[in-house]
Amino acid sequence: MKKMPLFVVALLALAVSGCAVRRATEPAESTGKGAIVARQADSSAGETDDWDNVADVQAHDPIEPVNRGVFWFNHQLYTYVAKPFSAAYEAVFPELVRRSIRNAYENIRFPVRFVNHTLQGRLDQTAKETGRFLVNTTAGVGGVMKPADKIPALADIPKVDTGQTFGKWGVPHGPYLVFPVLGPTSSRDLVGTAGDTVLNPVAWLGLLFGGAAWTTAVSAPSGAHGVPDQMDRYDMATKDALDPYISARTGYMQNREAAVGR
Amino acid sequence: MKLALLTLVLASALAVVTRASNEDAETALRAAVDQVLTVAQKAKGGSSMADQITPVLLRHVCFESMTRRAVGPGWRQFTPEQKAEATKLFTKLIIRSYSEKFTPGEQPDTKYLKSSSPGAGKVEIPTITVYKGSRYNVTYRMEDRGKWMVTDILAEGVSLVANYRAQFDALVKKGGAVAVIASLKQSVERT
Repeated sequence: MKKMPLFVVALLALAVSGCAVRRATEPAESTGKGAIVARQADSSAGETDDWDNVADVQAHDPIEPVNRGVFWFNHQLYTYVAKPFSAAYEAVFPELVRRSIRNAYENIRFPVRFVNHTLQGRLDQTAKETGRFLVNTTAGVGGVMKPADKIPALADIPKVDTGQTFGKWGVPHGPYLVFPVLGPTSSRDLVGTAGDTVLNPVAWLGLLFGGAAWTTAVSAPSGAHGVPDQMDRYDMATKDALDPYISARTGYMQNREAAVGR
Repeated sequence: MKLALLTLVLASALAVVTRASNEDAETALRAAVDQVLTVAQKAKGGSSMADQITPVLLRHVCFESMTRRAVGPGWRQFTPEQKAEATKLFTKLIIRSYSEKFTPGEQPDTKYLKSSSPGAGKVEIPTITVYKGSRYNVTYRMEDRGKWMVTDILAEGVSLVANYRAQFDALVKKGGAVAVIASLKQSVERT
């Protein structure tokens, strides 16, 4: 229930953002209202950027000072809470157990993938996801193992989520936001995450038996069990960065653009 | 009729050349990845990993091109000495960052997908890399610089070059080459 106001705020933010993808040929100053700037190298930049198809995706970040503050807070949280938790989790559970939990969790999120492939009109992928789910659930003992990976047709299905579906429908990102604990998102992806939560059976169980805290813990993008992976990714994006905030923001935007382009 | 025939012949020749380029680039990439993994398997991690992996990466990665493109149009303001200094520091930073990704004993499995050529002398090779049980989309951008060399790596759509360019942009605007080099020095010295 606590999520409701956030959800409404996100929808409003998305509605008023009026943003669009722009190209670098437009002056940088004109991008203030844009969600992202997909800047392609112009011909005069040939000397310095000769991959003309490289899109330099930038975020529309109207509340950057606030976001930077939350980013700093998250950094402390990750450093002093999440990383020790991650180390303890890895020490307690052997790799095989961790992998099994991750596999089972991924398998049970099947409705998220089924619905979004369908909403994107990719019925071939919907069929493959269904096949993958059936194989992993039966031969993989409830999804603990992934025998579908050995079947070429079912092995490499593109990842999919609700925010990505919105992107494919042409919904712009809206402002870039950094939330305490959860980290970076855009208004569009925030609404998408709410959609993913609604489609996630683990969250249904959480609502029935565990309340909002449990639901958040297990149905956040990768769940509490995903903290080690999340910390790895966070380190990857920020550890050797000149400006960790910009690195995380650019990384997020590029990753999401790639997801929509898949 | 003759024109149509000539066009067809030229198109076929171009297709053959492109296919050959793609194959050459892929062969070079496979060799690079194999050599890196061989060295990584023997290294013990940490700074030892970075030291041992450096000569291999210098052979297969064009850090000059990577630095130039990461800095972007501001590169034109750099003197030759500043270019050399920035390239040296950026190389060190990237190699350190790259070598930290390896966990001794973990062997990634790379599946090479169909490559494409966005322009002459450029080939993009997508792969699916399975590492520690997770699958990642990793794309290598290769350039023909006398031999095929890696000039960018995109992990899950995130380009290493574009990611640093976003960071360099602000520095170039703020203080040009001096600010870029100072920031690189600071990052390299940070442990």
